[in-house]
Amino acid sequence: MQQSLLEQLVEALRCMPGIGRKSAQRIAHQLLQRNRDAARHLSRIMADAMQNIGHCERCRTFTENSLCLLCANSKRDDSMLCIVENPADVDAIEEANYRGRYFVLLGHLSPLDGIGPDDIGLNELPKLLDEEQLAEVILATSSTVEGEATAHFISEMVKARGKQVSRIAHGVPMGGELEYSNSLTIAHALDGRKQI
Amino acid sequence: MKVDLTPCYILHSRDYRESSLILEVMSREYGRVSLVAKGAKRNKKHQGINFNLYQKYLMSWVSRSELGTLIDVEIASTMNSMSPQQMMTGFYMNEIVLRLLHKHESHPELFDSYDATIFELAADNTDQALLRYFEKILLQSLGYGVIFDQDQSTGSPVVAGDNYYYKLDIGPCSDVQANGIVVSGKTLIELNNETLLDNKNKNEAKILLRSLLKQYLGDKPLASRQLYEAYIKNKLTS
Ligand SMILES: [Zn+2]
Repeated sequence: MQQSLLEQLVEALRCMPGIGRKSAQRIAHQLLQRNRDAARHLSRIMADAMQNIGHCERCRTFTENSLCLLCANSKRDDSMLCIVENPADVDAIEEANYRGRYFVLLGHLSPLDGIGPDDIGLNELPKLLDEEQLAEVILATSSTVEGEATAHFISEMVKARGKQVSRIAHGVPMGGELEYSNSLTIAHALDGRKQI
Repeated sequence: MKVDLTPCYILHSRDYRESSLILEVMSREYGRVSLVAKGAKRNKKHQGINFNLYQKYLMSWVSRSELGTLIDVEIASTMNSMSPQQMMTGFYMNEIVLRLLHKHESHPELFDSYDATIFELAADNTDQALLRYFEKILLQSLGYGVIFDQDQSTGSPVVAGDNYYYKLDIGPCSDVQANGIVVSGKTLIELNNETLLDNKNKNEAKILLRSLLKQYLGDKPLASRQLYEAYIKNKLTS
């Protein structure tokens, strides 16, 4: 038997993180009952975004252009490159007044999840590391075991090119993820970074 | 079932919903279990304790189904930070345990061996024999009945000065017709007694255990080994 349209909607809503069957049902009913315009708008934006948002050619973050706004900004400091796990980490570090460049891994090395070096863009990193203006790389991966292993893997690539590499150290609690730290903590972490 | 503060290691964790984690745990008394740690990513619950690999915890949980719920956690002993190379060794240990150990089968001797090996790794002991003993105990506790000390052709004890043909499903055989992996008696005895000393014997033990494990791991490559190889290659070429 064919699913009703309502059932299909509930099923489709469950693709969102943290949305189970009950929540999906509640959302569907709520939108149908009193927010159809907003939902129509959402469906248009959603289709547009899924169609057109790709990855920045330099830093890999999400953007609908070939370069994201940060990479396209010529006023940024080309001598520094900060490597983070997630786009949300970029926002967090921006708030801490960092003015260099970024590279976004979109994850960390996690062999048991089948995530290896190429899956986090490390095959694209050398061309950034080889740029002449670059002097220092700051590794801001999470302080979990996987984040540490990732940082180490990258630090070997940087050191081989004779450039400085540091790891944010203080402030971010062991096992902590940047996204959940506040900007003051991150500012401390950036100031207190250690050369490795 | 309710479990109170029992020794555990996390073998793997993955995000679950907004702020929770699903932990794949090896416990000393209850074997492998999957637990939800609610709110774990926000550090609010569980007294700000972080969930990390290679750290020994005491965990309490309740379970009504396959997936238990973590209700309390304490740090059992403080962990020394591990060198990246040792972290990768740990990935390998976790991967083979996850691949081979069934859920809810308790193997205290395997837990103790894991615990001791992690302790040595954190102390930056780089002796590869450590990993061989762990692999041996893993195979033994899984009930694969691997034999190192008795000649399966004659029934006599293995002799240090002799060479043997190790047949994977039988054990060491002195019979030349046996057609197995060639391994010296010295390696077999030292592996059995956990006294491997020379590199030659360590390498023989490595080849033997790799073949034994492969029987049970199947053809799917180990992701941790691939990562380690990529790491070494990266180190050499970049
Ligand atoms: Zn960019």
